Amino acid sequence: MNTMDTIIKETTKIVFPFILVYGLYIALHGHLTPGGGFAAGAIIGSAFALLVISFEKKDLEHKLIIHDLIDIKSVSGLLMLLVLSKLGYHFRDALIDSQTIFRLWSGGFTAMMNIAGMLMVATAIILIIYSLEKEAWK
Amino acid sequence: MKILYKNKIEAATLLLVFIFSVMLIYGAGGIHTYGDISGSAVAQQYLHNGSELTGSTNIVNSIVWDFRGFDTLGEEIVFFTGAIGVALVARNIKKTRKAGSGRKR
Repeated sequence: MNTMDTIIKETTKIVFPFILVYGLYIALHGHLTPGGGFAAGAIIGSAFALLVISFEKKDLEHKLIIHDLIDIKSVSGLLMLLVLSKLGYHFRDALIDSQTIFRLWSGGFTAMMNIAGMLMVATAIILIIYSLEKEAWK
Repeated sequence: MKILYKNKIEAATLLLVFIFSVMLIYGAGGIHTYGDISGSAVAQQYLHNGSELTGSTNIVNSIVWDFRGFDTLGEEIVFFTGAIGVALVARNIKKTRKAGSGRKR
């Protein structure tokens, strides 16, 4: 059913890892440059959306199963965010005092929250896309 | 005397809307002008000491993820709950359709 052009498939093969790296960059530099966890998660989710749209199911190497995704990965992302947001305030001062500003590792608690939020938003968007696209694949 | 409204509920609704709009317009007069932070101690604290307190130079990010982190945590939980709801609703459409009615796994 889903037969995309060769141009789209080859372009997706080239562009997909760069979109992932760009999303990681947005998340890691969230405390220095514009961006943050939400934007990074949206970028990574859009990369997977491009992958799902342009390829068929048998062409994809990974097999994402929605049951496993609900059970383990995304819930662990939620738990990671919860634990970080609760525990982070306790060692927040020690993290911040030991850093110099305008450096990559300067934003102690903010950087951790950016990474956790990136995982969270990316898993949520990937979950939505795969659960909707799975019906079209059948 | 002509009856303006069908029942009392419409009249009460209109009265409530009028009261709340008057309150909103009255309250909007007290908002500071754009860019003026002299009246708000919280904004002054965020803007003057934000980079030293959080270690991040992106002030928007420091407010969203550090000063108001629990608010962001609630946003994330709402977003995640929506995603899980979409996945739970959309993953068994075909099986339910084949079975006719009811929930079958």
